[in-house]
Amino acid sequence: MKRRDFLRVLGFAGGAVGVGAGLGTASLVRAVGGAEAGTKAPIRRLIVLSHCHGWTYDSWKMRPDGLDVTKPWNIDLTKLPKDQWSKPLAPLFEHRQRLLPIDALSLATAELDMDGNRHDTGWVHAWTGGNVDFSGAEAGATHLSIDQMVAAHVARTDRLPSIEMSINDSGEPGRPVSYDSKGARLPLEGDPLKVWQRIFGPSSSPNPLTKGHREAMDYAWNEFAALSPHLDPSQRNRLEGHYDLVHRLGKRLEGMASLSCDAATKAPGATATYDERFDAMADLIGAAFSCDVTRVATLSMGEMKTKEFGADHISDNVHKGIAHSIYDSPEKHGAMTNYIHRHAGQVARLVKVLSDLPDPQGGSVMDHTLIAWGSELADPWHGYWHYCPVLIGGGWHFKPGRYIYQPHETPIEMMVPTKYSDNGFTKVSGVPHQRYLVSVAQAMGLSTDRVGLHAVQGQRGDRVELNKPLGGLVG
Amino acid sequence: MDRPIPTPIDRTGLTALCMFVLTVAALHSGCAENDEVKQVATAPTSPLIALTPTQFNNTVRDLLVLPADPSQWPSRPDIGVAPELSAGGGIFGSKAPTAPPWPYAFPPEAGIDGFEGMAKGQVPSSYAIEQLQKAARHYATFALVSPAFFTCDAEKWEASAEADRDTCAKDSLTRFALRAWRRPLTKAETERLTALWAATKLIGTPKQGLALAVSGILQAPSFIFRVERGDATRSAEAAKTAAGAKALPLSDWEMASRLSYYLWNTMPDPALFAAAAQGKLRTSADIEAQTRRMLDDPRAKAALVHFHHQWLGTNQLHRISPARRIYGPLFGIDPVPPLDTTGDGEWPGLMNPVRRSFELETELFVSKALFDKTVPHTGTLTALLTGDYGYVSKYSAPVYGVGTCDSVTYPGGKTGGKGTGCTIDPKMVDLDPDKATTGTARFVAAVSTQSTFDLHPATFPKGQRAGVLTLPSVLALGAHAVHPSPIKRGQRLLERVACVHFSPPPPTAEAAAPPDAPDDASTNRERTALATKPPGCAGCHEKQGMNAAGFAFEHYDSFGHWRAKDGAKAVDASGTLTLPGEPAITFKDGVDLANQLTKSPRVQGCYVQQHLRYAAGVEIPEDNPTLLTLQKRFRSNDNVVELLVAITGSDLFRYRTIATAAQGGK
Repeated sequence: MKRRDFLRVLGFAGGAVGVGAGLGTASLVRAVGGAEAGTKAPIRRLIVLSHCHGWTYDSWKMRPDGLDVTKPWNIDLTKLPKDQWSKPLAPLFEHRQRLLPIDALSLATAELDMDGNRHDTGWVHAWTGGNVDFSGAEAGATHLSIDQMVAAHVARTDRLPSIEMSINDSGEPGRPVSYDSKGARLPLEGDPLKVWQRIFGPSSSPNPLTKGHREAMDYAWNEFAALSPHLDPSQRNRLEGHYDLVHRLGKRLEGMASLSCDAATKAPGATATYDERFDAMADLIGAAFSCDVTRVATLSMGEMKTKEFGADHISDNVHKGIAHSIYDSPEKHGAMTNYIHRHAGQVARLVKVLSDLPDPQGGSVMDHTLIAWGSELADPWHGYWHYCPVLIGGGWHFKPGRYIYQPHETPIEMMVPTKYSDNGFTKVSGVPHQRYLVSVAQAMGLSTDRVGLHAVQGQRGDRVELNKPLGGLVG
Repeated sequence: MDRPIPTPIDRTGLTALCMFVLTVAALHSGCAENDEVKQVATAPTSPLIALTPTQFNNTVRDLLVLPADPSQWPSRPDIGVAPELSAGGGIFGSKAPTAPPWPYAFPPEAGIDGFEGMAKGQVPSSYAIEQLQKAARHYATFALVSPAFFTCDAEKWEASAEADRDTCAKDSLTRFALRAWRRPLTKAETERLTALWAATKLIGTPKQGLALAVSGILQAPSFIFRVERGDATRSAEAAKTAAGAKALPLSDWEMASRLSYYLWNTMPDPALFAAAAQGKLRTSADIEAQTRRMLDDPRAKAALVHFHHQWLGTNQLHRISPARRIYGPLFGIDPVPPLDTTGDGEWPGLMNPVRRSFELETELFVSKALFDKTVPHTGTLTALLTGDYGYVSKYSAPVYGVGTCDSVTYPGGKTGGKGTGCTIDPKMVDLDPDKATTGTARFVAAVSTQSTFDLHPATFPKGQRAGVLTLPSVLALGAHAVHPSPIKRGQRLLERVACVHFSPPPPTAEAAAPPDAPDDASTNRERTALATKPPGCAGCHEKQGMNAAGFAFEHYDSFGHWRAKDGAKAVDASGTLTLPGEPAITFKDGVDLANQLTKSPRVQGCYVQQHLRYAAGVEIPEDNPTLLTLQKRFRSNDNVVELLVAITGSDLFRYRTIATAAQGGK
């Protein structure tokens, strides 16, 4: 399906559809009211993008004019000619005024939390800023992920707090980005149709059982109401706290069922390629944001097949056949450069979708959106050394349109190939990435100076504080 | 706690019991057996306490009369009512693990000092509420295949005539609610339940409607909370508490639930329901008889083990994370993981069975100390603090210094460890390889799978191990990745074992802690002593004895592995500890300290206090008359089972406090 067709079936070219679930008259949730009135505060939205295998730093970095790498600096991207852009970043040239590539960080705390699979450890650190918990059936987190921190702050109570999606290909499921407050992974949805059903299904084709679930919740609430007068005030307060949250859950169920928006007439059709699935998800994010169904989306970009980026003559397995050998083979390094270039093209299309959508607050949806694009590793070799996230948008808080550089000076040793260090370790790392997560949190309106860990000790016992935003992003 | 699924005869018995319960309850309503007016010693408050995640799962299992082994559960009916069980995904194409039908993975409670079921530690959250709703839907679907749900023939119910189907549904729901809420329903409650069924039966299929109604029962406050209003008809039994507040005896049904959740961590059994219906849970003698009966049940042992896990903090073993770069060689693996996909899961794949082995050893140790009549001081706090026995698996063997008792096979077939076969050093452990308890552990990271392993009973050399304080599980919790933490170990011992309370550390404390990095120039003790010497630290670390209590265990590294040296120097684990109100204890090491603590009235009293606050779900002041009485008795007999009998028979357990105006009451 072509993207334009997809937008059409989503309804952007068609008429408005207002659908309600038809609520019972004695319902608790109905008594609460329908969709929340528009908030007075400006709506801020966040998209977290996470691809696999990190970046090829040597081909990703930009060094115009031989800048001094021992000092911090930044480049005005709006004035940098396209032919001076690195290959992995070049597809984003069109959106250069919204870009903030960060050449300053390391996943340093993941290096310290080294006792495990470096992919799993990296995923947890990258998006929670905290240590991994390997004790369960799957790698868990010890802290809330950044998207869920933000969702708790910006979400409407009557809509989805967040949506979690993935692009699947070559058997790779797309790795977790979202972790709840107890460290458990939030499930990812890789099927655009199921994402559509989650976003618009309750309003377009109400599930009769949804009404049944509300009946059950109303019944429980009525039991609370009947019991409450017979309790001590302190006991009553305890019960009220619990059933107030039940009431909110019902409100969200109802809000989703009574959604009314100029969208969602038809579900998406089948998608065959990675690009088609990415575009379908991009359109769904645009539709969800445009309808204010949610304000936070995460998209875990699973591995692409090698033929997607022209490397099938090397191997049919990105992970084992190419990624880990980039420092041994210029051909494989080049292949992974193309891999990231391909992802950058996809991200550029997402930015375009959001930039083309008008926002009820004025401007485009992208004007009110911040995209944080990262990965679980710094490089495909399993390294955490040069971590290169890109921020896109968020102009209400950041000063985008710049390439940020800061030298590595943090006293945490990072594992690197022996071509960079005889003993396989550097003496210092880049700024721990938690500080960039703090910057994202603050941009989204959270008054916090901490995401995940607040301080760590380097291998030589040096204390490293993590609880402040990354310098140089605001201007 | 496997129990057989009831036969049809049992199910008939269940029905008969419920009818009996309802009838007798009606006969007894309004009866006041004891008109004696007295002053009682209750808890300071009687808050509303929710079922803990453990209790919720146990209760549903018993409600549905399904086995404790989830692999023996019937398939969940696919009727669209239950949520999808998320089990995550394996790494890079590996198969995702399947979530078991039981227990439901609730988020843990915030807890208080490691204990769940404490009112102030039960903080509701939107996430927890969402999970409760999903769990209700999940378990409600299983009601349709429960041997204890239908009051008519389950196989024929859906196809029966509408009137018959309706009657059976209402009867089944009513009986289920009675057991779920652990008391008879009022007329109004029955009417509301009937109205729920009338609404849900119109939604979807009959089975969907029934499951939806069951999910409503499981979301109601009388299921989720242990509602205790007291029996106002017996108010004359206790005009006021020793503290001056009003008190009410618990109703018979409330007492049945208190007993079952305290002693079993689950709902009352038919015998308790029957006793409640007959008003036979009102006198101390009746309660003692029930308590002794219940303590003979395996559920009591499991609940008591669960209590000790919380007391010791060993329900948090997933948090231990010794560094591979330091401890890898102990297990025969390289300190640095190979950077290829085959080596990815090696360390976490090993740590999980080690943690599981520690956890099981803790449970077996507590069971042995409290219930095995062949061990010295069985059933006492002394046995818990001094037992020189343990349980060793092939995973924990290196920690005990016995080499490996078997080769360790990692996911993917790679073998690790120091070799095959047992290499036992008789100086380190006396292992009985002929006796074993089988446990299971889960490997993660590379491949998620289950593995079984044996735990062998072991006796340790004199002077190396003494009770729970020297279990590797407890020691590993008091450690950093590289070095053990005397501060963590000392604080935990004093707070949990001696009920010594510390003020929060100053903001600079964390930064002042000694680096957790290899350092052969000094010992861990020397670095800790130096870091805590400043006047702002000395109050807790020196005067209150936090350092001394922790230094006692310096013979054990971050894994709990016994060591004679710390770096190049001999370990010094000696010290002097002064507990509040008691003479100083001078000790040569942790074993010596543990032995001396058994004679400390403060430690004995603290153990009682921990049990009592757990039973009440609130903090119990040190001058509470019930607490003082129980402490006095325990100091004289050191008998844990008799302590539990005394607690359930106490005023604090049998009465609830009516909130005063100052407490938010009327």
